[in-house]
Amino acid sequence: MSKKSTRSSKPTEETVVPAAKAPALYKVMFISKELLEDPENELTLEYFYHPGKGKPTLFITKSNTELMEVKEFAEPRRCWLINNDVCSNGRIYMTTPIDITLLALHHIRLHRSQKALALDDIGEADDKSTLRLLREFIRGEEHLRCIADVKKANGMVFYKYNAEKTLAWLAIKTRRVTEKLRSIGVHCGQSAMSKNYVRGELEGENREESDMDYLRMACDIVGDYLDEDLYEELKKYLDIPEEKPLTTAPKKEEKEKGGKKRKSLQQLNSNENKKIKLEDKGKNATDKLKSSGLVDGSPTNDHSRPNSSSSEEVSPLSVVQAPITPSPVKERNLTAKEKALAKSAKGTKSIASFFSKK
Amino acid sequence: MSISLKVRGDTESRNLEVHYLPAKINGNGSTDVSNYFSSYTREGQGNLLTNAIRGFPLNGEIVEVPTTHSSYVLQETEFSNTEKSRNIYVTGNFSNFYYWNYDKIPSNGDAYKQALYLFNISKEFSEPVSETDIQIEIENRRKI
Repeated sequence: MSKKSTRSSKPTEETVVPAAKAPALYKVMFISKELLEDPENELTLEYFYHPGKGKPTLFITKSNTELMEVKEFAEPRRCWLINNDVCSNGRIYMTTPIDITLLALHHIRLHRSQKALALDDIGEADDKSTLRLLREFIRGEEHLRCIADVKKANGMVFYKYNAEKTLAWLAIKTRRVTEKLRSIGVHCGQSAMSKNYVRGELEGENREESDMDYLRMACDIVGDYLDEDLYEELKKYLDIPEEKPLTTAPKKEEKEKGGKKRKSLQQLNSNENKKIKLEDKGKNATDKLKSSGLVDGSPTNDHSRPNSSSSEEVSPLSVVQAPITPSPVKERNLTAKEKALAKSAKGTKSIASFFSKK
Repeated sequence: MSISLKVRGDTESRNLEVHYLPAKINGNGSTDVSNYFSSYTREGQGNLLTNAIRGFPLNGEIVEVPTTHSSYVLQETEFSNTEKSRNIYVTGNFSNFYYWNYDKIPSNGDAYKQALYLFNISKEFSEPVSETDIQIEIENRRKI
């Protein structure tokens, strides 16, 4: 019992020890200087509901007035060496500005079928982070007038979601992002796949396409902050056609090609079959010729014997190869040839048998 | 749950030498970086640097942190069990760092460089839209 108790106690000690001695876990973060202007202000990392991701994500707030998004840059294989320490977390956490209206939009849309609501009534009572977001960070009219109708009564302000305004607002934002993308020269659309090579081709003929690519990319960026159905509405509003998916389109072609290939293969096979038949016919003809020659005299026997011996050499090969070849699909042609050989061998055998009979 | 970030008074904290390696290391801890890695950094053509890790060649350069941001190394010193309030402290900061690529010269095509476009884009995206712009947009839309 005592042994057991020591055994059971040991692992608990072991689990405690590394936790206490755990090496310092570093994180590298790029913090916007706007947040650092006043060193007295305290920065806080908080979770708020992110409509694009559909779950709470990390934001950074400064003294209940400013809010920024925390984005993670994560390449699959990256790590840091910080002075003499290894940091396995190769991510960079970056703070990026965000229009807080985008965060409010989701909550306002939830109540779109209802009457205008006061800001405090928009968030669910049990959802503290949303209440905090709405109460602390959203400066009522200033942030919401672009997506909602504002009604004032008895000193209270009520908001009702306005779809037309919202789409117009989002469209303006999307166009701005489009312009920005173009001015930066971000590669997008089909050319993005081969950034290192393509540039010259873009300038001329495909200009319109690339305009649409920029717009689509901008819309995707904006859409990352929207509910899915609103994102679809925005795409419709901006007349962005369904993307000819780069991945699926070639597949379709491939499928078609594949179909063609299959057909052509079939045709080839059928051709081969025909050829084989033709050859068979030809052989029959030669057989007939030979048979006709055989009738003439004995010297043909000398010819026929090496033929028959060669056919005997071929036939065991074909027998050996035949059971191996069916498994790999690639060697179908070979099998066809071998079949042909086998058939021809059979033909020659039949000659031999023909001879033996005679 | 919120995490308090203690940056206060650390604006002039110690400057760190930081390498951004193109490798996954499954582990955290101390090692003699200056002796085993940094001292082998060689300067090639231009500002190009070369080094190697475990025999794999590295090409690198010294990269400045974007001017709009300050880069910090953060550390959570103690894990509180309650998880209601956590504190993260600043270990140090750096204004530039060694950016290493595995056998590839650093270029603007690198994921890191591409990611920095994000700052420009999100800034543009976060700019408020004036109400008159929205009205114009709505009217234009109605005409169609």
